[in-house]
Amino acid sequence: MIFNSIHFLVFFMVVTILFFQLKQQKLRVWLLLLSSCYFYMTFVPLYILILFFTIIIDYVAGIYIHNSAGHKRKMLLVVSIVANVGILVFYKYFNFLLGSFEPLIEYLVPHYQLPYIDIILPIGLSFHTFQAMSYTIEVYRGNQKPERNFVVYALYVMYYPQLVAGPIERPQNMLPQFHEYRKYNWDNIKEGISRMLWGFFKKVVIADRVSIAVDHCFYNHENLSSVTLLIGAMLYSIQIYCDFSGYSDIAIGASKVMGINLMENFNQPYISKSVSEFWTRWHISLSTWFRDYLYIPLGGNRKGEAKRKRNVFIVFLLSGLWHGANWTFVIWGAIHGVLVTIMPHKPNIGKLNKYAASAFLIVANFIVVTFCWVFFRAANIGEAIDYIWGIVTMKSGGLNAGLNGVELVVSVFFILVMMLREYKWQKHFIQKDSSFWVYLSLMVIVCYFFGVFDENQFIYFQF
Amino acid sequence: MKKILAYICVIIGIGLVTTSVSSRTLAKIWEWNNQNAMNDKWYGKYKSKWGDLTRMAYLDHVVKFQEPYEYEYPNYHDSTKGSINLCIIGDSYTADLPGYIFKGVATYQHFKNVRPFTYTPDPTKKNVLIIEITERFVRGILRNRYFFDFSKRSDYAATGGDGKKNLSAVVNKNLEYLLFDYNFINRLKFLKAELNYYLFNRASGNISISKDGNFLFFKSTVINHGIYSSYAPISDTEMNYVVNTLNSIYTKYKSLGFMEVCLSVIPNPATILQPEGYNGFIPLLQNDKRLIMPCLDVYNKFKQTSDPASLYRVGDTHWNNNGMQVWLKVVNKRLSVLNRKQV
Repeated sequence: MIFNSIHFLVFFMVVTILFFQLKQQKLRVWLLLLSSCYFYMTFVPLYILILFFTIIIDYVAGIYIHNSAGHKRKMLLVVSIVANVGILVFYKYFNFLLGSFEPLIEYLVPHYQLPYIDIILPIGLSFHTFQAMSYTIEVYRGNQKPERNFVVYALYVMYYPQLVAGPIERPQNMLPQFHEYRKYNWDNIKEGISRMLWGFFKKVVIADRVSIAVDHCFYNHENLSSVTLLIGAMLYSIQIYCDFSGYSDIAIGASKVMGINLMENFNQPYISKSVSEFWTRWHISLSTWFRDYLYIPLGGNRKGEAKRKRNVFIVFLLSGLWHGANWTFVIWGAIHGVLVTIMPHKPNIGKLNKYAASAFLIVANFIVVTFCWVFFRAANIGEAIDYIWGIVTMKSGGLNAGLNGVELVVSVFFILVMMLREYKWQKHFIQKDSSFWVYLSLMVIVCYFFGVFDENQFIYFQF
Repeated sequence: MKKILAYICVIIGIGLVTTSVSSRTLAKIWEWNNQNAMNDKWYGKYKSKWGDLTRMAYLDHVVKFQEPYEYEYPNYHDSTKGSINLCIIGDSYTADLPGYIFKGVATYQHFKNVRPFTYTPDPTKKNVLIIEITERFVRGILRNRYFFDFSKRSDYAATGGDGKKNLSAVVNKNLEYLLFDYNFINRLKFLKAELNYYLFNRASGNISISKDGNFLFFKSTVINHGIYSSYAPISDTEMNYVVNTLNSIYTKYKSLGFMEVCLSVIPNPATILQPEGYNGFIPLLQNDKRLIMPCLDVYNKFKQTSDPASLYRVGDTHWNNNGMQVWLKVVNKRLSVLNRKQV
């Protein structure tokens, strides 16, 4: 079930009302777990078994890690991580790895039929795997007591608002909230619904509208002019932000309605002045996950500048691979890794005044990030290089970006509204009830009349 | 009071989702509504007379897409002595055609939506089978071999007829019908559709407007990817699969006693009306020397027409009377030849 569907709206209404009707926290946890199971099973029902397999392993591992010491403690952590990563690798990377070695195998054993597996990737696998791993690692580190209540632990991994596309939560934030009884709070409901509506606006009004232009530009890139290609690439930057942050807004809002706070995942990434700042504002839950569980264990910045750079590069390389089993993601991660290591966090551009310097850096950084997104969006490396080559060679060609003039102007208008709103008014809580109802009505009208409802999946669902 | 209201909402919500899980239940509700004449009053009254795409896009009020449904059926029932038992396994293009329009036909049966059928050919007659498939469905249908595979009918039944679908997609479609198929809500749908059309030159939902702005197409046939598309490139592997599968279907039906088994692929409207960038699926298939199944070539006949725009309905995915007549001529020519043949 995707958020921008009637099915979700009915599901959300039923679950939320029932949640507040139940007076015991134990029953609420059960309700949330069962509804999360239903939510997940609407994709591929059988895959819930995989999820429960990892849940059981991590649940048991957490308890045993807590009760063990020394080598045994470490071994239990390794078992848990191997189980999680093993499933991730099998479902997500098996065919990719096989394909990557195909030329070599073909050379060594000509005409050998490689055993590719015909499977659908379990939805949100990378997200819930990382969330599960953060639990066992935190227990191992002694920062988190093991969760004895299996239902609560299962809910921690499966909590439906953030199950398939994050934010990737930490046990310290989520587990206490699942134990705490929350009273019905109208302010939470208003804030949550406002946030959800904002997410829907970003998804259906902006992301899905500009995706029409983006698809057109990427599919027809050979025939389009440099300007059109640049517009297509920039619109993709907007699309992926509105798509993913829109999902996060809906997830955070849906959870807020029930009084459960999820971590923020975005903080206006496109006002960053450098690539490294961008990564403190984009997909924050993943960046901090890699920082805490990979970068710091690798040595962080404690062992000199050269090793710091090496560690940063490894993190970005793996971050790219995390996104998908394709070399385009690896290249995308590697480029970001290089940029973060070679570019300063706060660039200094000399004599320009403060505002002009900021504006210059923001625009320059947006363009750099946009070029990187081309690798993320392209079907393969060749297409990405062709696309970028098409931009930089200033070639002539078609000027049609897939949207007509009015549609482009309306889209730009909504993009500006979105940017201005997020820059000026970051809060979603509306104090006055009358204002809330006006806001709600306005957003529903705008989403309905200007939204694109083709049941487009969220981009990050595929990860 | 609040509590009662809350539980009513919960019960309605659960009831809606539970009902929506089953398309069969929905079909029964639809039937019940029809029998009780509810549709005419307030529920799901909207049925466009201008075509399926106009209906799906809610563009009834746009004059450009208003084209009446008019077909002329020639009657060859008495004028030719029939010796052919004609079977057509076909889709909506041929579903409503009467048997008397075919020359030299003694008996005629149509099996809709390319389903396997229980027809046993009469060994004393000239049994002719025409497999008619719209271009956009060919690859999808051939991927689901059970459509034609007699030995696997139980597998076919187990899939529920239309193959396995994503549960959420089914529920969503059914919920939309249950919650938003009311006449007063349809007004909003028309408003949105017209706003989109006049402002953005775009049709809502799964419908696209042709480049010249005069026709509606299924979006899936004009996008650059997917098996329904007229423009998505087709790999050699896929063509090999299509040809091999058609050959095995041909052999199978021939062995059942059909004197002739022909394939007739009806081009997508986009294929004919917007040929730039066409992936060439039909000519590639029809010209493939490995294909043993004879083809009733309507593609080239359509291409040779001086005004291709006169072959399809503007707001519908089907041909109009002219298009149908071209196809009929091709079929009848073939039937006349077969009629003269000895058994």
